Formats: sequence, structure tokens, C-alpha cells
Amino acid sequence: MSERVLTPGGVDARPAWSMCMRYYFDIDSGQRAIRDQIGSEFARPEDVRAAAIRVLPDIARDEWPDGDCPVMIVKVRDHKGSYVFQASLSLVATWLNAVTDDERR
Amino acid sequence: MSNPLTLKLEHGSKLTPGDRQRLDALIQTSCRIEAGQDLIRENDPPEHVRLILEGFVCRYKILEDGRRSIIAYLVPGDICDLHVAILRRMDHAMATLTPCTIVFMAPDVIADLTTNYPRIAHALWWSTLVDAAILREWLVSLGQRPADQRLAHLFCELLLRLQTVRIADENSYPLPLTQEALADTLGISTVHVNRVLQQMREDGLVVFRDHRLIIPDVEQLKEFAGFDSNYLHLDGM
Repeated sequence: MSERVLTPGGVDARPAWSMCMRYYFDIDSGQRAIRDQIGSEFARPEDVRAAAIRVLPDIARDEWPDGDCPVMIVKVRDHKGSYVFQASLSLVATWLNAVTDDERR
Repeated sequence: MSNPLTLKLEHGSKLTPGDRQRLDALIQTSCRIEAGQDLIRENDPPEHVRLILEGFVCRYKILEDGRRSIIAYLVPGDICDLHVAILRRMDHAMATLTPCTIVFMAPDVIADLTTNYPRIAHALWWSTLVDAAILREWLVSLGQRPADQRLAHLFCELLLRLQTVRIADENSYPLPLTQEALADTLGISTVHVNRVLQQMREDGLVVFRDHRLIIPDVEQLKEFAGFDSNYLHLDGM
């Protein structure tokens, strides 16, 4: 169990024994972009990838943007500020008959 | 230090000076326990009733793949598993989330309270029913509320529960919880917790300063969370 505590700018320094690295997940849901200033720690690159991918459908459940082809993007920064991973989730929605959206309304 | 158990139970019954004296006698001997310690594990035989005097304790279960689900917080004044002697094995575990001061009571102490102190017995029943009501509300949150409302609802609940025992003031309280603990409580990932926290911070719903959670506009946060305090049953007495 972690002993870190939430603080205004983030969390307390990680324990000295930790081999984890801190990563920051900037997520643009299509409705709202938020730059991560807290960050989360991961021991292995594959865990970073898994976390970035998992958060997209989690957020999509709560805030799905308007439009027929919305895209949700997560970009992951490492502790030095370099972007190291990106994932996106998109929806393609379309009517299958010829009636326009204006006529439908 | 004022007795947090008394402060809480005053909401569940009209206590007499004699009742308060009995409750004060309960908290004379307590243990200091570090953060992140298991108090009892799943399948252990329960031996004690626990009363939290300081700190945060959680009830949790570990899933087969190692993930943790936190199913309740116990804060100062909370007493857990009054009738623990009836159950032979714990169906979940309990651990300290922060450094804690805890009173361990033998089941016969509870038997004395419930047999010889009717108003305390009434208040203990009240607190058991409130615990169940809190669990129902958490179930509603997990099942139906979006992540941001879920977190806001928890912040509102903790404000009221901690105000009861004079740890919170009118709009702030110490919040010594990790991202991981919040994530395991809300059933979302730490990355998602961070996003929701920062979103609420940007919107001015919450402020974090010196390990305290400050709620600039309590009514606004309650409205955002869809929070109705009825389930805490604090208006009884």
C-alpha cells in the first residue's frame, strides 16, 4: 500500500526504495482538456500503456462528446516532460438512411 | 480531547451525564497504529470491537487478481462490528489508511453497554443503521453516479461526518488519503482520480492546501454531487 498523500501540487515525494517513475496523463475528452499536474507512478512501461488505454473508456462512460466522430485523446508525459505514449478512442456514428439531421429535428 | 464517540452518539440518543461518563471510561486505554496496517484480515476470527479515536480506517476486500476494493471508511467516533462475536469469520479486512488511535474492546464491554445503558444501546443501534445507510448510498454512487459526482459526494459526506466529531470546520477538513485509496474507493483508476480532482479544482469546487480539503462553496458542491444528507440521520436529536 502506498504511503503518499495528496497535497496541493501533487503528492509527497515517493519513498526512497521505490523504483516507480511518475507519469502525467494529459487527457482531452473532446469536451474538456485537462493537463495532469499530479501524475501517477508506474513500475513498468506496459503498466503506463495499460493505464492510458483503460482511462479512455472509463472517461467515455461519463463524458462522451457531441458530434458524429468525436475523439478522446490521452498523451502521457514522463517526469522529464517528454511525451512517451499516446492513445485515442473514437466513435463513428451515422444514420443509415438519407434523411438529414436538420429534417430529423 | 473531547470524546468522539460521545459527540457522535449524541445524534442518536439523549445521553445523560452518567452515559457520558461511561463512554469516557471506554477510551482511557487506546493503541497507536501506523498507516497501512491491517487490523484484521479476511477469514480471521474477530475478537474485538474497535472504536476509532483518530485517523482513517477502511474496510476492504482483495479481488482474485490482486485489486483492492475499499467498501467503507471509519473515521473518529466510528465503532465497528458491535456484534462481531456473533460472526465466526471476517468476510472482509480492515486496515488503517493513516496513523490511527484505536480502542479495542472485548465483546463483554459492549454487552455491558447494551444491557445497562439503554440510551447508549439506542444510540449504538442508531449508528449501526447509519452505517448501513452509508453503504447503500455508496452503492448508489458506484452504480449510477459519474466519477466526478462520486468523488464530490464522498467529499460532502466526509465533511458532515467529520463535522459531527469536530474535526471538520464549516467548510474544510484534513484529507490524508492517497490517490490509490480514493481510486479503490470510487472504483476508478488513479489516472481517472487525478483527472477528476484537477477538473474539480479548475472549477473551484475544491481547493487543497496543507493536506486539507477546502470547499469554497459547500452548497455548490452538494448541488454538483446531488448530495442529500438525509442518509446520515444527523437530525434525530
